[in-house]
Amino acid sequence: MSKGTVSVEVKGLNVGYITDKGYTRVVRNANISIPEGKITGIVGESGSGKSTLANSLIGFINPPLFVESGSVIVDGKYDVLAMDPDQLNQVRGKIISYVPQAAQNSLNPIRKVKDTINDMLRGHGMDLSTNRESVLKTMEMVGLSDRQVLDMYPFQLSGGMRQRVIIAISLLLSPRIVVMDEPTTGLDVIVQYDILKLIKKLQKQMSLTIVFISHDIAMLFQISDYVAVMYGGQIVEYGEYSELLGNARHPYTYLMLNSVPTVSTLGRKLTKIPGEFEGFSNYPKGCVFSQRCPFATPQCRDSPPQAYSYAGVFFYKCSRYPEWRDQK
Amino acid sequence: MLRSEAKRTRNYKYNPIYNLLVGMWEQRVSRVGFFILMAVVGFSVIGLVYTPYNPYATNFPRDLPPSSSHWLGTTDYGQDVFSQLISGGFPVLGVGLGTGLIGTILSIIIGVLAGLYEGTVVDKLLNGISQLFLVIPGILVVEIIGTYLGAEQIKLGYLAVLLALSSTGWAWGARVLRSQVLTMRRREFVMSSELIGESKLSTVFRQIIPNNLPLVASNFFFTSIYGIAGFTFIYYFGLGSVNQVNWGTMLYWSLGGEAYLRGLWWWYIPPGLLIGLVAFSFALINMGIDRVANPRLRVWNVKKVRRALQGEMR
Amino acid sequence: MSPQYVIKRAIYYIIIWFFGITLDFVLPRLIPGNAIDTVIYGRIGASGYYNPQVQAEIRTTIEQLGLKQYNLPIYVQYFDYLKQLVHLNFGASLLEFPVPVGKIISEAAPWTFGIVIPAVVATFFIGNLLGRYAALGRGKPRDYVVIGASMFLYTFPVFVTGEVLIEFLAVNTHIFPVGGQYNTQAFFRPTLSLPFIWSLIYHAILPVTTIILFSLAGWVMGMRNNMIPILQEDFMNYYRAMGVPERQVASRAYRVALLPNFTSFAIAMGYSVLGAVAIEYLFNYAGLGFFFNQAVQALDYPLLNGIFFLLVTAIVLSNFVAEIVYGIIDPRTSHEETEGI
Repeated sequence: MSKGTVSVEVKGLNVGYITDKGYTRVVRNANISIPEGKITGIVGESGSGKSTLANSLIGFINPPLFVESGSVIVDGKYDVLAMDPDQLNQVRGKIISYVPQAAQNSLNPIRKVKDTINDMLRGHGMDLSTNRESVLKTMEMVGLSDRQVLDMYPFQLSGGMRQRVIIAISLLLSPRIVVMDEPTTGLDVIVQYDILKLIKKLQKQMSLTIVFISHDIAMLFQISDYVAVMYGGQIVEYGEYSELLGNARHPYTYLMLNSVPTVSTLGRKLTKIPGEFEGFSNYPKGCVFSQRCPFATPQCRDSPPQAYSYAGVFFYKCSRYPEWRDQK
Repeated sequence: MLRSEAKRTRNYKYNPIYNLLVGMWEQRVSRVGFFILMAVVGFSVIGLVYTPYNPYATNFPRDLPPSSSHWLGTTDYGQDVFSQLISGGFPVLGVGLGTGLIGTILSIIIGVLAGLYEGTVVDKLLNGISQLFLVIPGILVVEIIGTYLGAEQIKLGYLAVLLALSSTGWAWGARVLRSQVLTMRRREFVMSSELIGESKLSTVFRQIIPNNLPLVASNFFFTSIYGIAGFTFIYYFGLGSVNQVNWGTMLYWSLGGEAYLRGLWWWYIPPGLLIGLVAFSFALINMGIDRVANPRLRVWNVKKVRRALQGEMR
Repeated sequence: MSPQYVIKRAIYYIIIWFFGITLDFVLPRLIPGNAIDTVIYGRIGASGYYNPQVQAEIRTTIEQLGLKQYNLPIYVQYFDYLKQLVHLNFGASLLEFPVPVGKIISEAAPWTFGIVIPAVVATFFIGNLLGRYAALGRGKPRDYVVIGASMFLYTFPVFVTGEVLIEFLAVNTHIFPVGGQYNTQAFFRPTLSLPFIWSLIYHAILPVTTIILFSLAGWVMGMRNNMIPILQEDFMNYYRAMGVPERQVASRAYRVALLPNFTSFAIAMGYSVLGAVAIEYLFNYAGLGFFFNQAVQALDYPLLNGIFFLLVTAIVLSNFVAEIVYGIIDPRTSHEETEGI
């Protein structure tokens, strides 16, 4: 891969939840370097910790979330987990932006769109009236050329339009990095496709770094340049999307890709990954995937694998590569 | 959580009553409330068997401030305040909690009936009646009835007060329960149990109520507060039988004796304080219930966890 | 906000109101026959106060009011009652005979509203701000102090609070007057002069304060419990994630939380009148509550009827206004169809 700069550097991140009876660690020893100017996808099952990781990228850790250890360095100089709220507010929105899950809940229901935009701008010392032109331009960029949208309440807009509004808001301050947490969940397929196209277009136009989180494997691979696979709170593999497609290093990646129905799998029986994740309170001793992995050995179940890196920043956490590939 | 999973993780019992009680105990708010309540109850229990003097006796010097022989002084009628205070608690507690109990039962019956027979005449009727009782202040009605009865020299005894308050304090709970029944009936697990033939009544008692236990418990305490306030209101205006000794009559007589104008604070502040503490403890317990039911209201202690983790790592 | 909706709700509340006044009609008639006679004559006779001629007058008036069990069918009595209601005629007060009940009420009502309205307005502001203060500092000591203090003041019987204020702020320390509406020694009758107005305010401070202390909890807890979930709502988190400072997030949350409270505002008015009933007697404040108390003690039925009617009307009206106001303020309700009951 080309020697680009690193946008977001995650080092040794351990994040968990405070529960009634103590603390449960969720994200375990996450290390990843998100490259600048590319779309990096983070994929995983529900409960794999990807949303927690996404929140950590913008320093959004409030109780009962709790950062045990580790650091997240944004844009090479902002240690978001160590900054205080005032400093964080300088970074959020301006350097790194966020598109939340379920846009329908993220827009203030009793404010018109233009008022919410005004709120956002005023949070950074600006306001709508002086920046009207750039706001309108951003709205047009996301495909909302009808100015009436500004005067509407969220419940009057369709799901797709609300998502576009959210995307527009996230771009208002011209950030360099945008973290998108499941931006297309809940939308119908056609709208999903439109939004994906929009994201790709925006990324090219504004040279954004995009971190795209989803559980939808097929969609993720359509849009991402680089993909990180999460399981049980750990990043088990990270590499270029084409590499993962053709030559996945981790069994989970491989099995996951093969369980997605595509045109080429028509008529064939899809593979299914047996069993389910044991849960964070019952964390497996060895490799996190060992209980369900068809290629696991007693040694896999006993001791966790280390991260084997290649091509500089990519890595995978499997001690049996490349042997398991001969077994499939 | 699957039952099999539940059995594996510590002592998680699948009993909603147990869970609610444990949750309430873990919340500091309700623990404090509980202790206050127990203190007052204990105080009143002692009063059942022991009072320094006869609470009704009027042979003491009048208007004495607190002293070693009369811990809370004497009234304008020569009675020992402390004896009155310690023996005057049970009626208040009894009527208060009794109102809570009967009122809650009433609201369950009415709310559930209205919810089960949604849309029918029964529902519309019950709902209308509850709205009625909600808007028109029950206490006023009770007062007026008490006044008219007073003409016949009929004063309201404890039972009458209890009945009067219970019959006016159920409306709010009934409305809330009704809307809960409506919501729950549309949820899949209830619909599926009805589809496989579970009777409506059984659904109510085995599905709807257990899932709304915090609401029912909260309603109980809320109504109990109403019971205590109503009791105080009725006796303060002299509509109850004022020749008995309870905190309410103490307030009545202290008002008549103009205690507050004559500096006899020991006569009216202690009963008022105790009445307030009982109701206050109910309110605290209620807050605990709210926090158990709604985790968003809970308060997290981050420092404690950080210290614990650092301790582990050392 | 469609007119049909308003009319529908109006009809609904009118029905409730009708039940209220019917109750007012029914209650005295539940009393076994000669009870009222006994009381009235007993009292008048015992004190030997009125000469026989006046007694006969009293008798006719009472009969005309229908307080006595009539031989006429009940629905005739009911219509008579309703007719009198339209004229707001409740007859003459028994205690202050022959002053008509209507006159007493119309003179007393302004005093009650004079303390209730400032009290509710003040409590609204103070209570909501305190609730916001507590919500923003939840879990910290200030949260517990605010909640504890307001809840305690609420559960503490309101009249005892009043008594405490009187004893320690008026009797002992002479900071405030012990009671009364204005300085009766200085002013024979109300005038529109500055000293009189000051005397009014001066005498109103303690009663108003009592009501404020008592009603704070409602707003504090309401605002706090409203605000805390809102602060955790997705759209609030979105503001934070986009770098909006917590101060602004808090005021946004406060405004969202404030919305439902406007409904309660009208209802609180209705119930504060009840609170005033409790304490006016204490403060010798000749408002509705004072006379209500008197009517209860002296078994003055016409007066009781009249005051009850006014209170019911006030409360039903305030509930109705509250609903309409909420519909106007929350854009969601006015755009959507709302269910019937």
